[in-house]
Amino acid sequence: MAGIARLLALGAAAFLAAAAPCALHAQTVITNTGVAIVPADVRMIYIGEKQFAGAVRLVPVDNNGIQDRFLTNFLKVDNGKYYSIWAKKSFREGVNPPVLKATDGEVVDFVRRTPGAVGYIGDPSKAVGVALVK
Amino acid sequence: MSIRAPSSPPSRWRVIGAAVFGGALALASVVAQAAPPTEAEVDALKAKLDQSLHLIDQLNQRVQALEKAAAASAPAAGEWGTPVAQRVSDLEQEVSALGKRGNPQEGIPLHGFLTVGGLSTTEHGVQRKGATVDGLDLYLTTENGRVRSLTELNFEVDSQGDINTDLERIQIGYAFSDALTAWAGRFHSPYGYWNTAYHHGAQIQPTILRPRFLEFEDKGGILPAHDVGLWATGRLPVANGLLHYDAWVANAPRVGADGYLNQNVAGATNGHALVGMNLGVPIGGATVGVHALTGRIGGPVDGQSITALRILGGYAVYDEDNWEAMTEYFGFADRNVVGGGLHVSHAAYAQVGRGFGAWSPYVRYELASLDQADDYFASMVGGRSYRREMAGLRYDIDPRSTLKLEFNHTRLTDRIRDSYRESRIEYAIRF
Repeated sequence: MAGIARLLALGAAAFLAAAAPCALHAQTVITNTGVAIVPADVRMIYIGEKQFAGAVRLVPVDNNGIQDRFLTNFLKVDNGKYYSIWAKKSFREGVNPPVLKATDGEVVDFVRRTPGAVGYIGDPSKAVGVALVK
Repeated sequence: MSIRAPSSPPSRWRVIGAAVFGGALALASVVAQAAPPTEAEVDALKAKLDQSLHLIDQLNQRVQALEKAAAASAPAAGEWGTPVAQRVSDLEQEVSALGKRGNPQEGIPLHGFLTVGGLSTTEHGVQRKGATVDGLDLYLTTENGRVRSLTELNFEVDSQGDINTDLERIQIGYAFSDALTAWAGRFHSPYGYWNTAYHHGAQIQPTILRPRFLEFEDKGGILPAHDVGLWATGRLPVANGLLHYDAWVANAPRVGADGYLNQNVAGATNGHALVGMNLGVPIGGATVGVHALTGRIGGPVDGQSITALRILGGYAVYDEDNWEAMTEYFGFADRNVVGGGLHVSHAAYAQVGRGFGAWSPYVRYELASLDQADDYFASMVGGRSYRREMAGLRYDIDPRSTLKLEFNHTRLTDRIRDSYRESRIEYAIRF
């Protein structure tokens, strides 16, 4: 019994060790409280294909601290491809790429005070005064 | 990060105390080795020794007090370490972000392309070799809520080495929704794929040369690459994604006496309009579309029309999994204004490229079979049928700068038959 318990404990520890980086690397998408979007919209918003949510003009913002992970997880592109997409988009349609903020705090602050803003952060506990996209 | 208590004052006091204590002992020792002291002398010495010990005790107390004070003012490692590390990390991100962003909402959204290169060609029967300066393209994209503007200024060196300045685009738009943005002004003619996707954006264009029949008007192109008028564009949700559409009405262009197409920026000289539409839908990983364009094309003389132009075409583009493949077709069914008659012509290209890391080899085949009895083609310098095979290699130095090496063989198959080969190199950046 003791051996099985040790094995279970070891398995649980291994599971937690494996799960910890996922939790650490997860991104929380946030919006200004006046914006209603669903997770499926996020990719389209960040490649410029969705620029409105109802009557609200969307203002996406990038987070430099976790941008690479966000692009990989949500858009399935790397940083170079992402800005290449936006270079073409901007040249063709006259729209500009998302504003780039440095930290979670800056993103939350921008999203909170900008109508239509959409952003992402690494630490969900900082999402104060904004809406979470679930 | 931890902070140690200051060490200098206690050390100094310890040294002084030790010196006083040592001096007192030495004095006592000397006194002990001399003649036997009197009782009064012994009492005096004891008093001095007591004073010294008292002084030492005071100094020790002072040292302990200082050490306590220093310890109290020094925070624990955790208290200092977390905020400082966080602030350093935030500062690093800020510096990194400053390096990355050309922040459109915190500066002037001015972008551009810069291109230099070299070539060896025998086009027009004249051999040219050497370095070239292809041009500078600047464009400004402003967004003020739903109001948008796009201004593009191009400085281009032509085949004669002269610098031409062109107000490529000047358009003001209003975004009603994802389904509709309306533009007015001069814009890139939104037919097919290539003309709006790359245009003067040399660095984002996969090749050095555009397909010959899609060349700019002043380089002998047979289609208007720019229009002046109104343009509606948007995306509509469909079963498998978004349907992209363009619909526009513009001044009908004219073919000038020089044999080049002119967009009639100052108004259609024949009073007619050009009307076009373009639809594109995603199918699998590709985009497939159809487009149409019609209007009466003006001639060299004001009020003159030479051709009723009718174009119907299609395109397909696949840009996934390191493959970049595209093809476009343009079918013409024109009627001459004088003499009438239906004149059917065709132009098309197919191009395939494959990325291997930073390297992307590509090939393209183009053809144009243009009816020389059509007054539209017959009056244009570039209105000749041809075949072209092309191959090249692109190397992306980084996402914003690119080197390309390209070879083509072109055969002109009517009017004056000709054949020539070209090799070109191009270094293009965007900013």
